Amino acid sequence: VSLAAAQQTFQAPILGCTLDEQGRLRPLLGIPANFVVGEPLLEGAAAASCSATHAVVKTPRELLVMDTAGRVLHRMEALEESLLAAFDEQGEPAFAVLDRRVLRWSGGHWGPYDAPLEPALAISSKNGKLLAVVRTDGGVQMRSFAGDGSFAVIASFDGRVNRAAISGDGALLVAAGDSVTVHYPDGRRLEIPTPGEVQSLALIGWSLAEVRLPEQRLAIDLRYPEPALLILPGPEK
Amino acid sequence: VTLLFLLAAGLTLQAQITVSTVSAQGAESPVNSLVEVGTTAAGERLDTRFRLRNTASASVTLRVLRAAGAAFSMIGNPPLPYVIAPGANVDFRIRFEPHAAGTYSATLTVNERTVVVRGLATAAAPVTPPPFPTLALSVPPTLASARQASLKATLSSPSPIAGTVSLWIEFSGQPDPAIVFLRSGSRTLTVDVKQGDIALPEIPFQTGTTAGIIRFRAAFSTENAQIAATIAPTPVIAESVRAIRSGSTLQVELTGYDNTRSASAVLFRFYHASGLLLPNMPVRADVKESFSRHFDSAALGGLFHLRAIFPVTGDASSIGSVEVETINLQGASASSRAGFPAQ
Repeated sequence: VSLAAAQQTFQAPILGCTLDEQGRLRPLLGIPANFVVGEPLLEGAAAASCSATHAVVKTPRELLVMDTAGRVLHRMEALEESLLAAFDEQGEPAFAVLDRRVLRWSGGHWGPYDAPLEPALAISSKNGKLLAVVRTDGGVQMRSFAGDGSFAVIASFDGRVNRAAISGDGALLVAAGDSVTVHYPDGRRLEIPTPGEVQSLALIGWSLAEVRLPEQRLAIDLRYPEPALLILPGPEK
Repeated sequence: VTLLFLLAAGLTLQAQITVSTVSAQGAESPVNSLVEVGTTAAGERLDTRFRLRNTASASVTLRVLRAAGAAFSMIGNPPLPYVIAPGANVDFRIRFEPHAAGTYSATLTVNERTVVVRGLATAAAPVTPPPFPTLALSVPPTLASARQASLKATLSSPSPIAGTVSLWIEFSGQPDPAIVFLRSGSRTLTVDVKQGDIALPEIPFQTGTTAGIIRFRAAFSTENAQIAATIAPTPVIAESVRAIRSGSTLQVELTGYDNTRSASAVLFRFYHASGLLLPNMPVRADVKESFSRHFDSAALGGLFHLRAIFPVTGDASSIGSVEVETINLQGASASSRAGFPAQ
């Protein structure tokens, strides 16, 4: 076996994106602890989720798929209010949940995905299947949906949960009150106190979650084994 | 001093009351017709202790005791009439409390006797406000790149006023947009100070990915302060390495930073799935020009994301992992080994 000389390309490292208070979608550049919030890619976004290469964006009337340069690659009408999106390991869109409508990205288009989903707190994609965190009576469950209407319970967690997110590596984050708890796939559990009540929790990169507090935006670098609580630059320009 | 008193019985007796001043140590100094109480500043006060002693063999009734004169008052004087037994004494104080500079006098009357009390007042001492607290900044003298750290700002004493501290960052190295205060997302920041504050809340900032000197400056009222921290040059830091296999090509993605922006070569070492190094390794890429173009165009400090694609002749699936070594003016640095996912 032999390798030919490499073709190299350079670009700015992109962690993901973030939605500012004015509904502008901004790329988040850099590496953890060295963040640069880029210029807006889109205005008028109601919700968004990003990988290092793509963004899935909900406007009041449409669902957009964009690249991180701001080009719209696909658009479809969508009047639902909420959006959850998940990406595959290459950063391509994988799933979107609009209220209770579950969509799968395939061949450059959204198509239906048979997953009986109660309102989900968070979703992710693993090996082509949809992972979702749903509420149960005593806490939350992480379920894997095969696309044929069936699901398997991956893990259950008891206790009060206000917000949740799943990292690209399968770590579950749950927020309750003034803390975020990280459940790693190997069973390790780490609680991260936050300096205020968590108002929202969302994945903004493969292993980076955004935590919004009343007056501050934080990021949790979820890379194993020790998650780190960081600060996102702000306020938005 | 001899005073004549008329007793109630109608007899005229010669009774003696002496008037003295008493020092802080208790020493008595007899008084004649004038007492100099001394000098004090306008607005201040000066107390003088007086003692009346009955040196006669019969009791004496004190019927009149007063001090009349601007800036003088009596303190602790006995209720009248007051009987002083033979050999006994009674004390009181005369307070001199002038409000302006000048010479003051009063008349002290003890029954029929009068004594002049005089004091001198100098101009009031100028009121000097407490010194405005000094402002001090602290930060570790050396910092690593790509870190979030905190600047501390403290006052030498509680702030006498409410106001704002203005802070700003100056950076001596090449442009780097990540070197900012995190609260503002820029190189300037104002922090509110409440009256009575001493220490401000910690002020987080990012160190960026460029070697140089970060200088922090602060201004509060008339006070200014500054401190500097050095970001030392280092070999290239690999933040992450990702190995991707796609058919007969292998893709290696290296994300990291070169805080000297001097990277010249990247060496890729591929390993068999067994862990053995492939022959003819490393694959060297001279990247000085392309790194330089990237740093200029990306304008993100020393950050980079390098994607290298290797066409493979033979069984690409037999290659298990890759390690990347990067060379800049500070030396060579190797990444951790990244495995290609099994197909």
